[in-house]
Amino acid sequence: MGRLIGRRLLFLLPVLFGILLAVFVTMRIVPGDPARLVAGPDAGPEELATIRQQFGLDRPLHVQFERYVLDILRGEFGRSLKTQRPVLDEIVPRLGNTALLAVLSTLFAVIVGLLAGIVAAARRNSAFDHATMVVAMLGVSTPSFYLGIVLIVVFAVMLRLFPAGGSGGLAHLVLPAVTLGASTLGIVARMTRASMIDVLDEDYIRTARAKGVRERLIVARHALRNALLPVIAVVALQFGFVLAGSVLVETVFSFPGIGWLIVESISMRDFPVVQGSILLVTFVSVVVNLAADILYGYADPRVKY
Amino acid sequence: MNRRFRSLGWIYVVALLLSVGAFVPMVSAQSGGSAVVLATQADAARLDPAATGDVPSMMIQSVMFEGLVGWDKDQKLVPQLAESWTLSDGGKVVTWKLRHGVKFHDGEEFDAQAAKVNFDRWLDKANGLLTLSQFATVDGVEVVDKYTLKMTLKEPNGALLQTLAGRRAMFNSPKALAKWGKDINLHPTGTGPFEFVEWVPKDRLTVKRFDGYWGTKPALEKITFKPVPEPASRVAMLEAGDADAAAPIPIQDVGRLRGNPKLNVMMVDSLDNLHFALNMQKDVFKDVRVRQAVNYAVDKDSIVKNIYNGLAVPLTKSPVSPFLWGYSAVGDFYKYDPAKAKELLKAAGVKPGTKLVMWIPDGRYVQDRQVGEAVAGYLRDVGFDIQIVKMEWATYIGRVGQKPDPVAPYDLAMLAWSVGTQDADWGLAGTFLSTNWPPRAYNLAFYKSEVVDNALAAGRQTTDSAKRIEAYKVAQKQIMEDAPWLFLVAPKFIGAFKKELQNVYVIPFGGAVVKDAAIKR
Repeated sequence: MGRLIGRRLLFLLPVLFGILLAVFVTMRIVPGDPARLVAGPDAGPEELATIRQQFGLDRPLHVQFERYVLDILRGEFGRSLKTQRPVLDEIVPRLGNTALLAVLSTLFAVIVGLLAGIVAAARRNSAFDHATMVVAMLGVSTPSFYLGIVLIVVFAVMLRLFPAGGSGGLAHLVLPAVTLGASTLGIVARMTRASMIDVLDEDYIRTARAKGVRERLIVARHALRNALLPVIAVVALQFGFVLAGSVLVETVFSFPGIGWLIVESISMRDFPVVQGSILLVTFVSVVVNLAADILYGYADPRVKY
Repeated sequence: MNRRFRSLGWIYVVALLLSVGAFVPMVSAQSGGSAVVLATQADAARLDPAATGDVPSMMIQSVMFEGLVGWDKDQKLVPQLAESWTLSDGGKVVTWKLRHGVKFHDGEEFDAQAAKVNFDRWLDKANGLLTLSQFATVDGVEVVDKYTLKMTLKEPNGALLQTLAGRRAMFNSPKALAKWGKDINLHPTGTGPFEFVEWVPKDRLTVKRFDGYWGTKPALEKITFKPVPEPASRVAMLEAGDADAAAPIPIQDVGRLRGNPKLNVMMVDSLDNLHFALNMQKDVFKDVRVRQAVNYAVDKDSIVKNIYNGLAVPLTKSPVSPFLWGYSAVGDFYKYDPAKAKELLKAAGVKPGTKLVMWIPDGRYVQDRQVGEAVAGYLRDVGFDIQIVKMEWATYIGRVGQKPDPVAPYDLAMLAWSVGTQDADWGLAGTFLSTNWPPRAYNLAFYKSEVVDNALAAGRQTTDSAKRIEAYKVAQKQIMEDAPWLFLVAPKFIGAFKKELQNVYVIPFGGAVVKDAAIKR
């Protein structure tokens, strides 16, 4: 296990460098001049030139890249071109917000999805089963943008149960977390159901039943543990999608997360913020996947690293 | 077996309630007392007025900062930190008498020395501030006595007052400037009715009443600006009561919000003059008849009615919005007449099927894509073959702002020119002066007219308002006749407020003003 973690972390370095290079180059290839965007329409060429110089954008590309990499090695991510705040001050609170949102939405999706899937599998072909699968299908196929607006209209505007947007407390997280988790919930419910149905038909389950083991115990101990394996894999993979999905959800709910920050920074060509954010998000994604691999090893003793 | 799982079903229900209900809806009223939440379309970018280039930042700054002169509710120029001023030496020297008893938020006194420190900072090339070219005609300022400031100009500047009120020349405390240096952007310290409390980027910016304010003390204790970029969410926040005011409001929501007894919808003609610049570097638009034909071919009234639900004014009398200082209605131009358009095109020898490339900054302006598509339809009706190219704003402004190589690639390019000075000087010069072709500024039509150039120079060099208006009238008439643009519309700027908010309004520059608001619950 230690070797796995060591190897994966070592592997992380070229991944991060590759991402950094790709983002650095892409941001500079796409047209758009940060100085002009920051300065607005009435800036003259002299002012634009001064701003470019202040940002260091007047230097050759390889010099800019070299400086940037050296700065990062020193833990210095630069300053936002737009707000002039240190990049980490911009990113870290927002990454924390998004992480909280992603974790809550995943928890919501996994708890509700698992239970729905288990019950649906155990009560196969019942009305509950059919209803759960229809809802799961809706969860997977409803665009989060649309679902978000519907939830706002129903729960914020009409019922006034939750705030329509912004941040400030757990109440602010409910609607975004449900919106963001809806698709994962659908997938988890369907996966759990399918996987449980397979397992419940296995010989060892029949043996357990023949031995007179109580049905609840069979499902909870024997079947569920085996049925969980594909679900863990899917949830870990979904986590990347959850981070990506946060872009839309954060915009709809004006939730100050990293997704919204990245989109806005791209549209403002705020190079240091885009580079820093993507670097950190990549780092988090790789670490989450590593954690999932480790978890998988615990759930399935046959898996050896 | 099914029965045994009934209990699991219950667990499912409980878990569902837990995972959603655990957060127990504790929607706290974020507003209340005399605090107001204003939902805006974007977060502040900068808090240093002299370094700011975007409207949302300027609107936020306007509650914390003041300049020598400013705008009142009706967009009239009024003295702010200056009490009066006199011109001498043919308009080249301006002597400012400053207001007494004005304090910055850090307790420092505003006086001539404080003003000089700010002017010196604005005019110092090394600082790269956006005040540099705005005040290119200012040679320098001197302190005459504690409350008298003498400003020397290189040449008379008719637009000086408007430029000073143009939202950049606003004073920071000299002590704060010395203390924070380049970080003054994060520590705004002005003389305005509200002082800075905190800025949590992308979440909120809060200001509180400044008790040492020299003027009428604000009724509100606190204003929170909340960035809500998605228009539907912005409206929902207002309807849900999470915000007390929201602006801008999308056109399609106006009808519904007007029917809401708890809300007031307000609107004003904006300074945005939406147009297509007709690239006169291209052979097809070198002939004035073709440019006029394009203007006759498009039914602007129909665009106003069908795309803006009537919430816009067609630009048929002048290239600029009626709220720009120096606006004159110089005639009634280019009434929809496709037959006349075809006639002019025939006379100019333009063959049917001539290809035109139309650039649109998708999502930048209200209904921009819809307008572009409608215009393309009208131009196809008179025989053009239109190719629409849509780009996001950053790409767009980067490409149209480039030095042409050797000619700019578009035939028509959409833009709306709205200036913070609210004055015809930069309002016209930025897009029509022949020295302002890209990359210098945004004369995207590559228009060159001696009449216009001379008129704009005359308007700038005199300080006599009547003469200035006359000069800009000449320029506007010539521009309408020469048709370097396909003149379109000035959309209305729309805001919505809770009914109990009194003394709130929206301004043509694009923003809701709540600093004078009082709450009547």
